[in-house]
Amino acid sequence: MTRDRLTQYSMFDLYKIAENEGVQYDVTEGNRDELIEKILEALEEDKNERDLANNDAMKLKNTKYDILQDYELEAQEKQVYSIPEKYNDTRIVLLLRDPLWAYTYWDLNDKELAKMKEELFFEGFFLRVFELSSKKTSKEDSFSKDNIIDYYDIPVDEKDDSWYINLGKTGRNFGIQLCSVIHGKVSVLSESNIIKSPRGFVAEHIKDLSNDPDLMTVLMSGLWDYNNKGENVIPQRILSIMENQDLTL
Amino acid sequence: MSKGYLGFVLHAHLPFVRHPEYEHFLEEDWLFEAISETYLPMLRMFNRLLVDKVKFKITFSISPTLSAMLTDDLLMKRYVKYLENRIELGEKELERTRDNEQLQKTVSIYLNLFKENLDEFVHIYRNNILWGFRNLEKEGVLEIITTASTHSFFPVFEEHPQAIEAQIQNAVISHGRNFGTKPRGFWLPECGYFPGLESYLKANNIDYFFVAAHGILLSDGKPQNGVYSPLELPNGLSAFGQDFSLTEAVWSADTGYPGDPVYREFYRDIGYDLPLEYIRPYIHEPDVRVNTGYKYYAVTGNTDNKEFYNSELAMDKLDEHAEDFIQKHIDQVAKLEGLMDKTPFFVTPYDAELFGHWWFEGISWMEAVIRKVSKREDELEMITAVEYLEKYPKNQTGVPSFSSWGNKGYSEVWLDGKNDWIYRHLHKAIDRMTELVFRYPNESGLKLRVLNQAAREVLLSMASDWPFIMKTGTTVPYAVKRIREHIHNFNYIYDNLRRNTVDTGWLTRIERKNNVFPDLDYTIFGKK
Repeated sequence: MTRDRLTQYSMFDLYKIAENEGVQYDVTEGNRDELIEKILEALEEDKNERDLANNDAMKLKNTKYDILQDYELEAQEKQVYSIPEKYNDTRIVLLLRDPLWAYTYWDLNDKELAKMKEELFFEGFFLRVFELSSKKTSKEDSFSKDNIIDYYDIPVDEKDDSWYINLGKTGRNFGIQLCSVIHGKVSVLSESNIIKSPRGFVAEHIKDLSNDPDLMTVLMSGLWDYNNKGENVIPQRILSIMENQDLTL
Repeated sequence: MSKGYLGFVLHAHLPFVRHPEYEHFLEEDWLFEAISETYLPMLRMFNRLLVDKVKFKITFSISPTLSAMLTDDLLMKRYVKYLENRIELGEKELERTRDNEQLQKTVSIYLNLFKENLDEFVHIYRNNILWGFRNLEKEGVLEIITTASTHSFFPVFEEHPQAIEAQIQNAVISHGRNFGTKPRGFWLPECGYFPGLESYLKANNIDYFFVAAHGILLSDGKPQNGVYSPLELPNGLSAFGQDFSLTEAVWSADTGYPGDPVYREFYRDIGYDLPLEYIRPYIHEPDVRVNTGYKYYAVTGNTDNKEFYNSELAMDKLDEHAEDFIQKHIDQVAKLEGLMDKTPFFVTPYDAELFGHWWFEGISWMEAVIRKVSKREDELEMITAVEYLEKYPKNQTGVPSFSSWGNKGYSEVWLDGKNDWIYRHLHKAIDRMTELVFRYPNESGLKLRVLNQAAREVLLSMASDWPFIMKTGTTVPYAVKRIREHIHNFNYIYDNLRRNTVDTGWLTRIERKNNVFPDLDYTIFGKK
């Protein structure tokens, strides 16, 4: 998107673009050039952010869809499709994002929520994140006392419905409970599926760097090059291989 | 016997985009550009090699949604119109640039490309280029494999076995219908793997698949041969790791070959550069400027002041780059000598559309690589994963790590603040679809049509393309609309079934629009 292209937009559309891009503006001033300048800055910042958030494979993939260099305010298709915000059932789901981060979303049944809020001593909700020994065949067994290694709580607001969780450790099993507190009493509203985070580094028994031909093939398989190219192109979790195991040569 | 093996793996995929309700639809151009700039030129290149009796073998993945579009009557008729429009533009461009000899040469390159495409598309392939790929497989130079039905990124569906099974089983059926064979290999969309995925592949008679380099390197054991030979999983499937260090040479716009100053610049197109009144018939209504395919500038460097493209300079350079690519592999073979108990296998996977579409000279580069390698077979030989397994049926046992080829190597491209909202809807739709199979295990007539369309809508909603676009920001409003459309359609069917009603007019309209996988059986969502 260039300055030339932006100048061809109506003021109304420029306001819409500004809003989409989070640009602060004063409608009463109506200074077109200044608004365009601010939008350009925001778009440039956005582009830089996206570039940093994508590796070469993803940047290339993006060109398949890159038919439009102008700002797309709305899709060509004008049909409006309504979908529910939530599904009115109480459940919590856990998704693994990478070795150290997971994403959880949850939903609460309207009646259950209303009933809880009617309680005089309703204190709120929290997420209880568990590190577990293993994934058992049933949720009940997975969250059983003898399977729990550790846990910690994350307070959440009634309006929240999702959260990114730093797992803190790699190569472990995790589960999560959505809990409410009424008059100091904790109730479990829903239990998630169990996820296992990957180890995120080369198998632990590779310790000895000297005269290890197997390690050489691992290094030549890409780690060597990751190391030579500097941090900017190193997948974050791959970098941890180098840090954790001191494979720098 | 060669000292090293090279395995090109090309993955051709586009999401299902088909809008009969519009005369021209912007995002349908994704397909038309890919056919014009990648698929047809690639078929020509393979056939040239075949005629010249050059020995080569390539693994080619064609997604079921792409196959569905390439055999869709409406879209293929629209493609012919697209080509005619581009040829008309090229002829006008020849006239407009008559005083500039260099520019005329470049115009002619594109005009000839579109003319040749039209001629072959209509007269040789009779509007179905899948026939061309199928023929190359019969000739023994391509091994065609499949991928998930709508290219779903599997790790985010790990808790939904029915959906994974449906994605894989329907893909295998679709492959059989399009190519008349059972695929032995499977391209995991975005190389997205989680431990356990292999059981679904095994159940559908798949023998091997590909993972990102760190999927192998960070596997549960010490990978003795790095990514240079496959891992054999406990259930007998083989996982081949991408050779990261050498594919980068082709991927990187900054440090790789495609970024060379003499190559064609992708982002300068006359659709944006020429006056609106001139270019209007060749862009989208109402006056939405788009790429036309006519691009006259070279990469030049990090400047807006681009130089005109010179194809002779580009051809010289690609020969140099082909030589460099081969030499890098041969050097790697030398480094690996004595470290492995097998001949190293370099698996180099790419999105097919990278070649020709983005890297304009990429197809010629690949042809140069193939021709050169065929003359140095004692040093490097092109083979497929199947051929490697025939040479080395026993490999180290292990289970790859959760991985993808996305940014930072895991799920963050497809599970991010910009797209995470979709998963509560997708997971719910899958759960409800499974519930529908349980409630209606054996239906016929109108209810069967309704249930099959519900299954189609769920599969379409699972495409990895929509969260990818939301994350990378290309045509976000359309991607959002597509997710909403399929979830809306599915919920409408689900609610109607609960009320035991069917909106026949609506159903017929949706069946005609989202007509992918016409023989899909909804009970596929009931299998575990």
